[in-house]
Amino acid sequence: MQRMIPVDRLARPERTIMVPIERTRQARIDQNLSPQNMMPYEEDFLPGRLHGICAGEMQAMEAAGRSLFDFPDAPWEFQLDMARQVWDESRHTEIFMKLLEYVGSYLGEFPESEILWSCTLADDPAVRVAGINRGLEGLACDVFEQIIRLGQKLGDPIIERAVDYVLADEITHVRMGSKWMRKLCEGDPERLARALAFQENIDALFNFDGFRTTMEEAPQVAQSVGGREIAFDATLTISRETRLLAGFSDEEIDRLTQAVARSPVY
Amino acid sequence: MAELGKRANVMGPQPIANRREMPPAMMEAGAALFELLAGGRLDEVEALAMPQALTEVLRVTDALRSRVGSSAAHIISYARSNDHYYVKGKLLSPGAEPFTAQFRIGPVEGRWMIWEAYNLSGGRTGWSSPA
Repeated sequence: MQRMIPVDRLARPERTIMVPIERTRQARIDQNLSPQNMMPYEEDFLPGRLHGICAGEMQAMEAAGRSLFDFPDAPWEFQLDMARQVWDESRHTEIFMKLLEYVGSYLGEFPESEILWSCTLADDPAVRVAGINRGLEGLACDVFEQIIRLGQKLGDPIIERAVDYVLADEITHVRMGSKWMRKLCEGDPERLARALAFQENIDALFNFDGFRTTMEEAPQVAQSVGGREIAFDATLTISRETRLLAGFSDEEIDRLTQAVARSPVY
Repeated sequence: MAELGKRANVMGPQPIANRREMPPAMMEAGAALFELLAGGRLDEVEALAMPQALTEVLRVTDALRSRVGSSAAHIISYARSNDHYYVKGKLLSPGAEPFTAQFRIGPVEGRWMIWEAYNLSGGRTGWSSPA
């Protein structure tokens, strides 16, 4: 079996419609929408966001599984953590498939993007966990926190609690990633620098060119979600509290928020 | 996975929104597009391309020009991006490998036009680099 498989070797049923992220963005531009992502004020925000997360959970499950296969010489405890993560992500996938049905959608309503898998392609386990567990799962902490708040605002305990349940695991995954990044890089500052640089590239990729702010700075706009009128974030947000729970330092979170503030919209 | 459905006699959470129906006109347009490909009416397919998609559409139609004999068109699936739809389908001919393609179609002044085209034959996916 091949190690480090490229994106187009991921197995999918024939009915899955796969579209590269640049094409998805072009489709939005062609329809006079913001290029980066579905925004909280859009009608499709909830089903679209949950769909993207569901596909992301699937790819995270595959990525953790591939880490087991790609790094057979990694410590046994590392492999145990990756196996545990496969199990967690598979449960998350099922939860989000149920949530999709709950909000009137289904897996396959929107195309699946390759962006998350493309962030996993590192041939060093320390770099790989920095990218997946700290970069992508850190992003998940922000995204999930925003959906939990949306659920609270809607008075919808199903969305709020289901996503909170998943977030608890993601926090563990970030901590797992930090632990292994540091452990595998012990006594090797260059390797640690490579791992952190890989993670920072991923953080930059998801800055969304100014469509992301801190939770506190997000302008509130009126919107209709699930037939209810509420005021909610106009941007995608960064959650300091959740990132602190996940073990990111204040300095790391400051760096992320400063990078967002430097983006072109500001 | 079983759908939750909207059944008052079922305990547990019920959907808070209905599924968005796919526009019948879009489904007709998608089916017609693959019928044109199957029938070898490639010029008509090219005429549906938005100017920015013409190169990609030609990549698909050129790959079909050497295909001899009639094909049967089969729609595999749809997915949407707001009001544009991806349509994936394949052409089946006796003695030939299935030809799979994917298009993004969107309405322009009442007509469903092609905004993107992918040739997915030969084990390619929508994530493969363009041929």
